[in-house]
Amino acid sequence: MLRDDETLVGEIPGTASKDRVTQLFRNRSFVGDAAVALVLIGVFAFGRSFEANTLLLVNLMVYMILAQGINVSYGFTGYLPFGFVGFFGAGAYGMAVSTSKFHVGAYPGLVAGVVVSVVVALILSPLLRLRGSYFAIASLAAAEALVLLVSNPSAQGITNGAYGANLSSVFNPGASYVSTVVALGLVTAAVVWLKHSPFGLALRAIKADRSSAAMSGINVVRVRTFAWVISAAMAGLGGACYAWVISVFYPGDVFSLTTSVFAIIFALFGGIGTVVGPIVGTVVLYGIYNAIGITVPQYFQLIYGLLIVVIVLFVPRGLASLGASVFGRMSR
Amino acid sequence: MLLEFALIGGVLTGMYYGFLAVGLNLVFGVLRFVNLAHGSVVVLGSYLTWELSNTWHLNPLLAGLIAFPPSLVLGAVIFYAVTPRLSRSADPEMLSLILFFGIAQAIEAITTIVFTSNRRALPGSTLGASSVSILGQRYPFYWVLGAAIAVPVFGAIYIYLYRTRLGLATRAVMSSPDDAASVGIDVKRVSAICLGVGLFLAASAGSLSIFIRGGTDPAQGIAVTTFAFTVIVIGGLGNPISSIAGGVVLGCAYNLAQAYAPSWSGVIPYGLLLAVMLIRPSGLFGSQVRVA
Amino acid sequence: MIPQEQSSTAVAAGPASTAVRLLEVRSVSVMFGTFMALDDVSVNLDGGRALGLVGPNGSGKTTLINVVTGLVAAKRGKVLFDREDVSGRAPHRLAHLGINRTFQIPKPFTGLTVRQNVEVAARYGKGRRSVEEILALTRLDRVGSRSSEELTAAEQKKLDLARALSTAPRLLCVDELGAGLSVSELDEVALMLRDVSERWGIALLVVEHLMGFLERVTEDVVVLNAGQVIFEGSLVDALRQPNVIQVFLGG
Repeated sequence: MLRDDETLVGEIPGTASKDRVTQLFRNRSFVGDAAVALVLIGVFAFGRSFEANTLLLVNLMVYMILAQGINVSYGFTGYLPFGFVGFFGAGAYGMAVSTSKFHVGAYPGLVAGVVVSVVVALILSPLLRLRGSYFAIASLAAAEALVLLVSNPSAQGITNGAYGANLSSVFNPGASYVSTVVALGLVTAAVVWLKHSPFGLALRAIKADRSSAAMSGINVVRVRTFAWVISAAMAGLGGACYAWVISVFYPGDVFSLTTSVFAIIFALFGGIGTVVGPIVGTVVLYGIYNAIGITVPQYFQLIYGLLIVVIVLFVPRGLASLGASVFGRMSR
Repeated sequence: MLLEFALIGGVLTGMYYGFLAVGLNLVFGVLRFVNLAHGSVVVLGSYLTWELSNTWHLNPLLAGLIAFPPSLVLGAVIFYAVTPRLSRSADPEMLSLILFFGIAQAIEAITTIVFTSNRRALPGSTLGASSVSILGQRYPFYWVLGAAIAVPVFGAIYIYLYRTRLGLATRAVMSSPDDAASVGIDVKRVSAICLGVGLFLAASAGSLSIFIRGGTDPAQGIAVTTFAFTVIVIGGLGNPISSIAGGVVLGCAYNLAQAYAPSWSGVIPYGLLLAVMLIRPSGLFGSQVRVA
Repeated sequence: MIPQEQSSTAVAAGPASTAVRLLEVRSVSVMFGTFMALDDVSVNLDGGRALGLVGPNGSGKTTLINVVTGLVAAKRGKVLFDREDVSGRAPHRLAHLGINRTFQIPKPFTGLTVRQNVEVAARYGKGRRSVEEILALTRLDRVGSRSSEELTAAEQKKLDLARALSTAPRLLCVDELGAGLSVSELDEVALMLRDVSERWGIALLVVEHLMGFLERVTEDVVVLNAGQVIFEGSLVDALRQPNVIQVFLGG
């Protein structure tokens, strides 16, 4: 009945060369992202020679790490965790408890911080069954429950409860700074990998539609749990580094909802689903915060509150999308 | 009698918690998003109450009434300003959540700028009596007052939903905006009104919240929203009347924890929220599961 | 035409020597709350053959496909694929076994290009088929670098088909592929289906309202009504059955 196979089979002229162009194009974007990561590491590696305020540099790096964590969870997988700071705090306490109670060294302590946050992520992974705002608020509740657990008098023997943590036994400004730079490098590299790997494509497929993703052979539960764990590990690593740098802290310092909020805003403002977005978002907004927010936080809060409204309504895909469209128009 | 005190206190405060949360549930039912600015509006209502009482020496509960016109206006302004763009976006539900989070931050900042970030509290005696005796035990007067106000509030919401034309339209929009529109209901107008009424319910709950929560400060907003969300998740999302049942369950659980394990009582709202969401997402009293 | 004896089991089953039983749906029932979506439904399909699933709206056609592809769990009954019980398996595992589908309303992976859409399925579906071949076959090669949400409705349907094909299915369930297409697009898609089925020996389970589309793809149908099989046999015979006619015209 239908015998026009000839038009459907056979070599399609131009396919091979088109494929090569695609490959090249993809490489160019990959090269760009990798360059961003390298420049970033370079800037912070030598940062202390042109910026005396080390804590500012550390805060920038930590927020970049957290914003990238949000990027992995929301930008790639579609889950927006309002309680993301829970993993940050878990990492900070993993570091603090392992070094001060179990007397391990600083580097095993960093690993312990990551492990603790990963364990918390696995315990919370049933939350991934929830969708949209349910998930967002449930994760917030989980983070709030976690801080109450850590600061509870019953936990005082381990976490020192409300009296906070002290890491003075491993205090080392130089090594903790370098570790934070390395952590930022690892996190950025992971996002570059996600953006350019089939795994990253699978995540974005799940974000777009779960049923179609499953019918494409993707193990939706396993893939999204893995992404959730990666995202939590990033926050845990950031928390552990931060704890090492500041050395003394209280539960409220590392479980502050403001930290989650900042990370989310920075990521959204810069543009999720990209490598450069969360970095740019952090530099711009944390820069503004550093200039005016610390002295008059309420005005900064008003600005970013209104900024969220403007982003959502007018640039839901962030600065990076604006940049891309301007760049696209120029190069045409 | 610790148990009796905890349970009676739980029912009294729980009815108020229902009132605190019902506006959030109404907005969720009609507009299908979680109004993260709910708690910030509650806090704003508390500050208004404090000002009325301290500066103008008026009855603090008056704040709950005079908030009505500005709430309706605010609801309409927000609704007509943001929803046309939101509904055209790729992910309206998440973006609404984030947007209202931004509005919450802005309200919180304005509250701080106008009233400073100092914690404000009012003594229970501002309301007249300070305690009431029930079955031989004394309870704070504002607990009883909270319950006494919650009953007519829920009565009014019931009458509105089931005995008025606007309420019928509201329920139609709740069950299906498309079907409601197809029978000639002005979905936008109903939604704008419900957002305003939701904000008003939040603000008026704030005038009691300053007593029941033992004071207020601008940073409380998000905790109040989470608490209210717990109440409506337990009661059943999208069913405003069931909020009172959710409030009573949470009130009793919280008071029992206060009585027997006070250091863990803070975990109760969050723990209960997680448990209900994972085990029975339709709520303890809801029948239908709505996946938002 | 040779009068056919109405069989109670297989319809699209050729002589045993040439075809192998690929899919066997055995007495499957599905409940949604108190609503019986499928009531003791049995359907058989041999490798490389095509079978139409017809019936009025709400008769359970899509539910049956959902059960076969693992998106809905059956309350009773079994699904056998290649003589292996696959009931209750996760969709991605069924995709790996060679069961795939298109969706009534295609949901392409937005934010990904057309080519990336196919790449994801080719990689994770373990189909080992060339992405370029699939794109050329479904005539999407010219829009390969476009974002999938920019496609027309017809192109999105083809993309859904391309995604399914790149997992190298042995059974492809097609859910109202023709709905909303123009006459020429319908012709093109029907031809495409027929072609891939013959070339790769893919068995087809086709839900379709449009008889014109159906008759180009298959001669055999199962008619469902209110969750039950009311007829199985050839499409031509189906349209002569009083109860089938009543369901379509009177229902």
